[in-house]
Amino acid sequence: MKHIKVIAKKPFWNIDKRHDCRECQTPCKSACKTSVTIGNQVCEIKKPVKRWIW
Amino acid sequence: MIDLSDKTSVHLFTFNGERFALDVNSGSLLNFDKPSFYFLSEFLNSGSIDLARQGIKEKFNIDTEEIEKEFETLIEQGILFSKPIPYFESNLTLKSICLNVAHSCNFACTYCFAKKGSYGDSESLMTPENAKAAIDFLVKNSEGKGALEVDFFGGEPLLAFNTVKKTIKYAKISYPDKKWRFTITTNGSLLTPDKEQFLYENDVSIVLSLDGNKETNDRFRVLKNGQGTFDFVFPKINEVAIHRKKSEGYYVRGTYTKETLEISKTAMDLRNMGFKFISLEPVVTKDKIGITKEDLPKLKMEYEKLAKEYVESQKEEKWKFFHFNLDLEAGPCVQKRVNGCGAGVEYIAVSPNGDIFPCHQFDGIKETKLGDIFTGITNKKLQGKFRRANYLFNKEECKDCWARFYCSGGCLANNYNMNEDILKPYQIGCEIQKMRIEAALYVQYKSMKLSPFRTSA
Repeated sequence: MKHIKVIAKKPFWNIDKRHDCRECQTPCKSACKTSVTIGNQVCEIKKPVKRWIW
Repeated sequence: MIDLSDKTSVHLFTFNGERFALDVNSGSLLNFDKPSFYFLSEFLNSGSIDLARQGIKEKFNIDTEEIEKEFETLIEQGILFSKPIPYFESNLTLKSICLNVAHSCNFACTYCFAKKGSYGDSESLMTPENAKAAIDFLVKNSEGKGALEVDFFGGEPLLAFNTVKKTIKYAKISYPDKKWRFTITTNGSLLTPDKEQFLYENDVSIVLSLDGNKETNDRFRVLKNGQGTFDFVFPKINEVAIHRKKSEGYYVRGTYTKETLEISKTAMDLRNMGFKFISLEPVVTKDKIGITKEDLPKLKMEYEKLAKEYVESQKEEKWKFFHFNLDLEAGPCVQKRVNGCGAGVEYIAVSPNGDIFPCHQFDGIKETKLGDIFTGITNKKLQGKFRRANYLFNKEECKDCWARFYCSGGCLANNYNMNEDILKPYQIGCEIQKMRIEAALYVQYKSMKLSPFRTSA
């Protein structure tokens, strides 16, 4: 495409939408921690993380 | 042609001169040249393709056929103006606890939500017995969950290091089939090489509180006698950072206020001190140092500046600013994105005496007590309220927000503290959250352009 660049293509569809395993980190948005939003997280099945940060 | 029945399905924004569209329902991110961005903006504003064509002709003197074809392709492929993925309210199960092991602190930071660590009560430390009972409670009530989270919090949790140590050993030995995730949030003052070695060996992530350089830090982070804490804690925090080197096992976390809004400078100061993992969070308070609407334009400029400097500085040496961690490929599933932080249901806080609260920020607010670790959840009605509040679409103001799948409905404690209603989003927090997401998307785009390096959570 000449005018538009696709940076991310449907990322929400990349992971099985029926998963709902909730094995990934709790997204505590409290400012007194590191304010982990959903946006900061990764799928624990797709990309396991050794240490989580709050 | 484009269905404009849901204008909120596309979020257009500019950041540091770059033009973007976020397709809200699919998470697709697009970068535009000037004419294509103008065309889409005009179309969204007027709802008329003819007006958009006319406008582009007048402004850029080009034909829109090529641009329209690109848009049509994107729409056909479900990348733009996509329909929502079906989602539902998850049946949340406990999996995460915050152990407030110390209702006491050796600091007296002026912005502390925990009333200088005591949570408005007499000072106390959690006994190892209570902490073990909390672990038992967690395991018993988290059937089917593989990964369990325990965050040691306070006050200053290292005041109760003996309890921390015994709890970790107990959890691992008693429940070896669980994948334990431990975190500790500390002011760093009581750290010793021995303690750090224990935490490191047991894979405990550590969040170290430091607000910036000496001047910034000592403005609010003070001892009980008012003396600044920087000189005292910096060597200890630095030692942890050096010990953990490039591992993602630590974050230096600062708080900013109305009086310390210069987050770009603060973040770069911390980075120049040698820290590789940095986070800065806004204070949430009704006091005069709380962030207000008037501060938002400055904060937006700060985010733009920081994002630019961040991308630039990656060429020299990699470091991470937490708000920019956003994995476009391996982010969480949509189901997770619509079911909040789990406060009160999936996530609880336990006070030193064993009382259960919906999260650490509710600790000490008697009317929000859910029960205790010995008898279990007794206030089922309140828990039901929290369960409902966790679902994104039960919050009226979140339903159409473009940021909903990155924020998942805000912090219930902030809503309660600022609006006295867990269902009513704290608006300033929402606006800051949106800035942070736009900045993160910009960083993703620039990082891809720069090199194969990608930020990820």
